[in-house]
Amino acid sequence: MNPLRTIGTGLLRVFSSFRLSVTLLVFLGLLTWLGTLAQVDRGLYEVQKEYFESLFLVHRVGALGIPLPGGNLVLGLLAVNILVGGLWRMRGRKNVSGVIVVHVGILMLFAAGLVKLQASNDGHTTLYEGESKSYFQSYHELELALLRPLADGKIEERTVDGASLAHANPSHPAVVDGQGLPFRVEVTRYFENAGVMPKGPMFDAPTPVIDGVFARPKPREKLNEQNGAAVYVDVIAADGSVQNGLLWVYDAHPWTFDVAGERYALDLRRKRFPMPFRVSLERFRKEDHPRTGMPRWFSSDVTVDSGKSSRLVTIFMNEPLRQDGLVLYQASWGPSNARPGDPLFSSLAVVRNPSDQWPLWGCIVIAAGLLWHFGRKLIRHVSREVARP
Amino acid sequence: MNSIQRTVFAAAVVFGGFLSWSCGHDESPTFSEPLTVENFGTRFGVSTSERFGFSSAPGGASAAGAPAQGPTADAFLYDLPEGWVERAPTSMRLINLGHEDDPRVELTLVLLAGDGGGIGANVNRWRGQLGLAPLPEGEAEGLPTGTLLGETAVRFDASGAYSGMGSTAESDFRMVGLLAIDVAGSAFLKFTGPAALIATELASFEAFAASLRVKDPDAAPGSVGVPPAVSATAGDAASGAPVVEAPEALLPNSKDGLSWTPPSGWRQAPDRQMRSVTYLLGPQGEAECYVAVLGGDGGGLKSNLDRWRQQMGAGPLSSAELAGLERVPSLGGAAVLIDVPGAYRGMSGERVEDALMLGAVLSQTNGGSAERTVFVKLVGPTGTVEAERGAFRAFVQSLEGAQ
Repeated sequence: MNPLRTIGTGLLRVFSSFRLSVTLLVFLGLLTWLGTLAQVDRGLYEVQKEYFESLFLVHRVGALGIPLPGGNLVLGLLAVNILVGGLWRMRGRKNVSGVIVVHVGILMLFAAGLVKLQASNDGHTTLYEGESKSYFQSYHELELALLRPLADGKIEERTVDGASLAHANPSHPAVVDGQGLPFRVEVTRYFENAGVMPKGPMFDAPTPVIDGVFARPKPREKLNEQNGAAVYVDVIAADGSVQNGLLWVYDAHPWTFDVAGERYALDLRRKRFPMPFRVSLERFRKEDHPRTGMPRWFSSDVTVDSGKSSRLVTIFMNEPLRQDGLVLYQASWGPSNARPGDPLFSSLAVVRNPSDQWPLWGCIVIAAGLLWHFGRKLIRHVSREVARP
Repeated sequence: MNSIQRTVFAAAVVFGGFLSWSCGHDESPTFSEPLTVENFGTRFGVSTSERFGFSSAPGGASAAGAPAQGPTADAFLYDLPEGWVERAPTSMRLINLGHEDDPRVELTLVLLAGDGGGIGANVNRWRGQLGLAPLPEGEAEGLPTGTLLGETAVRFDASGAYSGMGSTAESDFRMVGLLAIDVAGSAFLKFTGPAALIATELASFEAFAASLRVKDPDAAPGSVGVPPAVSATAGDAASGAPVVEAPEALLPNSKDGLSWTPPSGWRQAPDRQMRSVTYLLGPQGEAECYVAVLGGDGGGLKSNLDRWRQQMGAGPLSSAELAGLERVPSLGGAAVLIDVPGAYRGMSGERVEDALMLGAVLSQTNGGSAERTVFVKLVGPTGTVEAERGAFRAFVQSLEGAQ
């Protein structure tokens, strides 16, 4: 027998088996249960990354580590199982067209999840009245931005993913290649969560003091968005001269340095994503429940400027703005401790998800398949009953 | 392939996936290709104190996210009707007026590049805010016209339950407006409030609209700009008033109504909240001297001195000891000096076993009661502080009221 054919047949049998379906569904249930429990001690973001957006993980029960397949692996195999089992095994069988349509709908749901995982971005753009932005920034992901001011007031910007710096330490700094630049950047220390303090004389700083301040490492916060990362960087020029900087995700402005007569700055910040239009907050309004500080509603009157034309739009709860593949929702406002008369900001959640509507279409396809399948069965049953003497 | 072979095969696939997953995480970071972007308030050359929010300078961390700049109403001239009040403009609401009889009354002028969505869309948006159905297509263009900023404008006048942005509807409201719409730039003048008051003020609105004009007759409405060197910051965002940043030359050795002369060798540290200035002393900056100013008596001389002594592990002062403390002339009065050796315990848990604290407290009075109290405190290892004892005294005596 042809060995390739044997392997091919074996593959098809493995990936189309009901046993694999059941096993994967059990793992999926287990992951959901364990992941939910893990959120008691750890934040949603961290658990989501480890349990669901992973291929493998090790679940800890006391000192015992239990290896498990991650959500990506389980769902990926389940998609293959449905494709092979639902479509290939049913080929040639009669009266299964409705079931095949249902499987196509389920695969659309899987595809929507895959596209969202790989191609979607989400974050927020936060504006005070009168302020404009044409980007939104992630709640979680970081980036290191190298900035150079241009003569026309704009900025030349290069970025590097913050996750690639997370391993940096004095023994093994993360060297960021400065292509075409007269210097290189070395990240010598990375802290996932830190505060920045002025160095007082009565205590020793646990980290280098730069210009009178230092980063004080802090325990990781359960809610990932509350972690304030900090890095120490060395800028090493071609002549070997070194400039040291401290960057913090909550600093108000970047660290500026000069090399070879050119001015640059480094900024550790939440990752930014450009929007194809500019949003300006014209007015933010809210109304509290009587005698409480709890808002009954809040909304943002924004101008959306695409460069060619502008239009006024009101974004309020459950009434998002959809434009150019982005959805802007009214998410929150602040500062929470603002006194009457203080300027308030409005925070708009922004989501770019190319598969935004796919689950809807997938559900429609599934509904159509079920209707077709069971409708035919019903008609056949009724016909038989009518024909029965 | 039997069931054992299938199981082994499946395990091999899973193991292979695990290997590829575990081996794919060792990429060296590289900057992306350069991209030219707009500057949304990023400032270069900002001091460390300002970057991390240790100073009250504009643009500090506490001000992050606040508007960087915006156009002002200065570009327009108008006659303010009697009873109308000016409110802080925003960069969108170049003119923002209210009425002293009812805070719900609003008059705003907004300019947009382009046609802002067109006449029909804007008329129907305003009608929607009043709870009214949209006009049939083309009907908005047939509304009466007026003049706004020298341009022909559609005149809007409707009443209803005003809900603005989805809020609880304010019944019996009226909205009167002028919409000058053009692809080259559009202007929207909108007057909203309780119908009775709007009816009373309608003539004033017409007069206001007629009086409204651009200061520079050569400037198009859409080109209203911001005067150079003027920027609005968080502190003035509420008022909308632009501020001119203070020249750097005013800042050194002078703050909170005080000026002083720092001894040689003292190095100024980044600004700290509640402190006018902080200096670091000694080769490693192991001692610290700071000046703080509090209103009134700052909690009282004795309680403050006792608190300082407690930080050094010493007990409170007796009345006789308090009366016997040395005084030196400073700020037109006499500063009380204190000298406490001991083991220092700071509020943040910092410790110096063999420490010395030198302190000075001076209350400035006005009409017999303390107007403000100045605190000067030097603390650090005994050797370092002893070496600076004379400099500390000179520093206290150098304090003056700033002009």
